[in-house]
Amino acid sequence: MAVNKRRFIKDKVSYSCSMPGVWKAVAHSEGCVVVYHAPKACAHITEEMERNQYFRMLARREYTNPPYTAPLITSNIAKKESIFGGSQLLKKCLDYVVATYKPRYIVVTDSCVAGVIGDDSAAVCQEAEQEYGIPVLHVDCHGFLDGEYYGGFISAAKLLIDRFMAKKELPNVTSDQPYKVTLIGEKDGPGSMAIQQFCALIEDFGLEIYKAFPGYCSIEDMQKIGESDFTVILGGTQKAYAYLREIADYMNEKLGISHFASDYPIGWEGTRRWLDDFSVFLQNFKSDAKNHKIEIEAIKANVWRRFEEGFEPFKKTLQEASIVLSLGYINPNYDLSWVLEWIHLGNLSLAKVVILDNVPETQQAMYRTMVQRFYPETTIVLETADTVLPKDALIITTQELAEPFLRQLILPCLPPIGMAGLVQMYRKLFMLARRRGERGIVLYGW
Amino acid sequence: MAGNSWFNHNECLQSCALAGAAAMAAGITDAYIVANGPTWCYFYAMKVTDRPGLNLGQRFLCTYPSNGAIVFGTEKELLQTLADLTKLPKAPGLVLVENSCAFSLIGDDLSSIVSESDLTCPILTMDSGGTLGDFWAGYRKALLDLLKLVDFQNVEKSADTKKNGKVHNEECGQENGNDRMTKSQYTVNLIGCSVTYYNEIDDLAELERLLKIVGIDVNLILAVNHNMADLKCLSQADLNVVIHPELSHEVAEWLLKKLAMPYIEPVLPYGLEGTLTWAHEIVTALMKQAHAAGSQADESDTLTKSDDRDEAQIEIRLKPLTDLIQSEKARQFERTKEIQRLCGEPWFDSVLVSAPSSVVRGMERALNDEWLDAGQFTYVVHDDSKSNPDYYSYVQGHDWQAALQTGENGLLLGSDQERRLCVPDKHIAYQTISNPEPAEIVLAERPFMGIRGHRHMQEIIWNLYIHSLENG
Repeated sequence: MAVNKRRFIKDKVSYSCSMPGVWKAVAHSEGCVVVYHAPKACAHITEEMERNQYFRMLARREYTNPPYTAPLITSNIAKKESIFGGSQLLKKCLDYVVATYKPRYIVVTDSCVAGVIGDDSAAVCQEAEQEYGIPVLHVDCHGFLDGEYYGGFISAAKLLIDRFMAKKELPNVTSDQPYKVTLIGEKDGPGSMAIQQFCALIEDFGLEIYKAFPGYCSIEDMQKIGESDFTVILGGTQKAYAYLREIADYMNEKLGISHFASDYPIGWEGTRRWLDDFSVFLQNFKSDAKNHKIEIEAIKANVWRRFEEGFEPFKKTLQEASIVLSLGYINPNYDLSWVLEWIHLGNLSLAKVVILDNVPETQQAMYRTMVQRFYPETTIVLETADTVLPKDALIITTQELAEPFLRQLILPCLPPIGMAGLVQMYRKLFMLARRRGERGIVLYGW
Repeated sequence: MAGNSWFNHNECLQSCALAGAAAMAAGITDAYIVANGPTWCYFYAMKVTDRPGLNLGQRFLCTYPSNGAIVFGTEKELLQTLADLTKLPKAPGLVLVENSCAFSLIGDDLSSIVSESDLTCPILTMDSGGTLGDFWAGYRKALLDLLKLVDFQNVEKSADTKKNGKVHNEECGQENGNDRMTKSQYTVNLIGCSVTYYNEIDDLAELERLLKIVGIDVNLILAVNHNMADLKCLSQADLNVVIHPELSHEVAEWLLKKLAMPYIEPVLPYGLEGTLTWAHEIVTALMKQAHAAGSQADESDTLTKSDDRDEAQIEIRLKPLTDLIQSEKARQFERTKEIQRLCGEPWFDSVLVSAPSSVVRGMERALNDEWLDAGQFTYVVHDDSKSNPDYYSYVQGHDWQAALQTGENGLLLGSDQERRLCVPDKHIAYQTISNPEPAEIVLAERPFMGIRGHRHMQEIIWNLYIHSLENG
């Protein structure tokens, strides 16, 4: 191979762990304590995830101290429990948690080890709940055995809906009250640009966010969610969107709260589609009891204006730069079309596309179609032993390359939200362009 | 001090044996590591072990088993991953295949599965993960199991001839015995080191330099930047010096029993006096050993005479180091006296040191004897070492949360996890000495051990103190 890839991830399917998903669902819910029925080190995975997010947020200057962070305890299953069972250990652990933290409620989930052993954690939780008189919720997931990250997230959210939310019989809405909109999902917390961008899009319609479920909801917040008029799903990947939609559907079923379901607003095409869909949703919502007048073209123009204003400081430099796109193997669930649209929207010149040698043929064909749609003139080459990436170009790449003198922008795992996300990516590319001399740089796009 | 064994993981990280075993193999340059477990366990272990220059992005793989594999086993995924390794342009020297905890429980016969692969190199298999234990348990087991794979037989014969001054082992690239006698005479192995420990590579370079000054060559730094073939040379050394007992006390014992290699576990050389003591212990051990060999040859030599002679020889051998230390003391006095007149001597009301036990022990001695005056010292060790009953320990479930409740005007020498708990709300001066490290860049060589390490630590402590005066 000519281009030294830092890491070749032979990722067919993610098979992530459900426990961090459970944690994330209630991490900042006041008074909650999370217990993993797991070996100690399983908490390390969650902690690494949190730590990475913490530094990412700091670097983006988006970090805000959460009002509350739930203690995370492991029952500390070890070899002995794998033979004799770990239910007693879990019960003792819950006794400790109640005595030490005086929680308002506890969320317990199982590791794959507990799953293999076959401990009846649900029964232990039931017993603890009766004994202590506080909710002890058992999320029926087992590490990576079932459900994955979002499996844990939605299972925990459904339990919270069951335990803390009630259907509200609301009086007839009057036109002077704004709709109460609840966001479903979590993307780097309320201070993140992604959430802010989502809020901005919703506010363009004259609406405000009422609650964000589940990550930052206290029990009191959850009890009020039944009063929401509708929910909006924060997506991510297609997979994440599908999972989050499950929460919204469940909320609809249990509380009668309908939800707005649309593709994630990615890029200009995606954002326009999202705005159109939201506009239609609002007009149809309860036959638009509040009689909203939606000037959708004005809203789109407003979004575009913000995009142009954001892009302006970087425009000249980037339009003079030579850009090379390096495409390696990616998870088939991840659609890179937004990248081409993003480069094209800025009227940037794409000098070359290099398809790396770890890309299967089907994905190569998909890449070619994608590139040709926006840049039919651009040369697309397959990586060979002689391939050398130019030092003077701005390299936009799906995976980190080990050459020390390249200027690389690593594409984010999740597409940036809305047009503000694209501006943020231009800013990163601008930072690459401002790198002088033969100094390599690796900038991550998230 | 004893307390419960549960704690809030937001306040404390505990890596598992999967990461520990990988950390051992990471130091062997032609070793490949295969994590047979969930993707996220693999990513986390990679994150814990990956360091610049190790190339783990290429050397640390995962079998990516599906969740169905917990029922049907991982044979297919594992053999596929091993088949990928056979296609490498250069064959691996070793492959470590480690089961995560879930796959350790389902009873896959790893050694039988890997025997079906076409790889010709040694394949070390082990059950690891959280049910086996912590990082240190994984490291120790992997290293011990690895050494059991090595054929020391032929090299042992060479070792026998070494005492007669005729050693010549081309495979190990050793000098012949006569050259060694005239140049440095003694060789030691440094064992119980990890490329993943904070600052380890810089510290080891300083230790090698110190040993060279007193005429001792380092034969091998076990599991640090050498290949598999080099392991055979392990038995060529006169003495094993254990650096971090929490990583390899058992290995030192095994080498004593298996290869009759003596070992010592001196407290790590932090501070100038600590450095001298460390070197003194090593030279003394080597001399005693030489004396014991000499006594066998000449039994008329009385023990008393030998002891006197040894002590004199030790002093002579240590003389260059003693001189350096004296001049370093004078240098430091000269360079600090002006600031001392202005700002006074460094002082903190409380000092918290948190690191692996070997580091804590060494730093405790240096802090008490040389580095710093303070109102109170508290020590928290990350592993389960029982080296000192006054230490708090994360692993033993001691009530270490109370230990972290430092007041104002404190100094924290620790890791990012203590930093996040102690520093944000208070004026606590902080220096990283252990993992996990915060987001920081260290480009210059900057040992904490030895003479150069003393210089750096003094500089750090002085500057933290001066800054604390302004910010406190």
